[in-house]
Amino acid sequence: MPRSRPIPTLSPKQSLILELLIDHKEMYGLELVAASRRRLKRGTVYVTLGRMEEKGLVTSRLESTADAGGLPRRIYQATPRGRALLAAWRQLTKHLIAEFAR
Amino acid sequence: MMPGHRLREWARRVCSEETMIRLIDPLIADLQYEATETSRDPRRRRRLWILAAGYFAFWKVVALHLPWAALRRFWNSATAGEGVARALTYAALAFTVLTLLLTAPPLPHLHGRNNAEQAWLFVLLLPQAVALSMPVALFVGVVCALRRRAVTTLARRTISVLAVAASLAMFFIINGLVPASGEAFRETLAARAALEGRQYVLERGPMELSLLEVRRQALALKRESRPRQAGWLLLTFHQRVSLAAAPLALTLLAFGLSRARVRMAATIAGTACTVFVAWMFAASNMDRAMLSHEWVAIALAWFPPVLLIATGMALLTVRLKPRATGSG
Repeated sequence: MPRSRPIPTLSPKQSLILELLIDHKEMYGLELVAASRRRLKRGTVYVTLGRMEEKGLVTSRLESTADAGGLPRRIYQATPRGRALLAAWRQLTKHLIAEFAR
Repeated sequence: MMPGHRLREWARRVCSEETMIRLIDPLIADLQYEATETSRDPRRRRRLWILAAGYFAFWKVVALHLPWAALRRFWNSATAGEGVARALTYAALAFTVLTLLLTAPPLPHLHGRNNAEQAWLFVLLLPQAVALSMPVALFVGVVCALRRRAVTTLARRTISVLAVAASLAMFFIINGLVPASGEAFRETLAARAALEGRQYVLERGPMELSLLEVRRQALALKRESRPRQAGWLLLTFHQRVSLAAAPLALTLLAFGLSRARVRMAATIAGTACTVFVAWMFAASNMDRAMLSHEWVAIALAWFPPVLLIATGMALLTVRLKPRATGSG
């Protein structure tokens, strides 16, 4: 029997990041933390973003100019796969909530 | 120098390239960006607060994520995982066999009143057996698993960390569990003898005393000008500390032995054995009063682990000749 592919899932933090990235087009990690109203922490946001990048849900690039000789910051963007997964995930949760509300 | 520069240099030594790109560099970049942004802010406290928040985020990632990342890297690395798993399997086997061999012989002579008491007496014998079998099992495990095999640095580091953990456990066993279980063993036997109408006065020997009690008694005897007894207790004190280093010292020796050629290993191990026998001879013929000098007791107690470590280091640092390939 062929092995079935695992169904992709989204944690609350991951869906929040995708929502923010879709709304703002592209954002820095610190901007995500600020826009999340304390739901994302700066100590863990890059761990989540790293995992999402591994799964192909977000993509990142380095900013072109770094201020005063500091390291260039990383800018994140949602991928089409991330957008599709968020849309599917929203539909699924909506459906599940409706089912359980009955 | 921008803040976070040294942290980044340090992180580069311990983190993989992927972790640097995905985690550490963005964190340091944020820290530096914020430091630049707030550098003109007249509120000093705010500047410091923002900088502290950046450093806190960095250390939070280091503490929470890096151990997992290292563990994941370790399990994904088949060679390292195999090496450590093999060493642990051999060590577990050796540990079981040795512990049973050490506890089984006195078992028929325990004569518990019932099965429960017999089992309890057996349990009380275990810490002493474990204190011996654990370092030896680790040594056997490492030699058997790594002998004549290529060992990755990651596997060697992981085994070293395990050896340090074993040494810490050994310290706790020798200085906590062994005295407590020895005392409980004697009390159980004395209680049974009392039931049979025989009375024993239980005086605690050095093995039933805690580490601090041994030291206190030794110093008290020294003050009473009884150097022979004081020396003996001082040696016991330092031996109980130095014995805890046995797993680490034996693991280092095992690394050396597993890497060396048979002839070279035999030569170095033979020399070490000769030195050890000479030490035993000197120690047994030494005037016990000499041991009341702290440095003599320390030197005598720490000689075996130091010798093991030196032998291991010698085996590890000796340059190996390239193995001849092809038989023509």
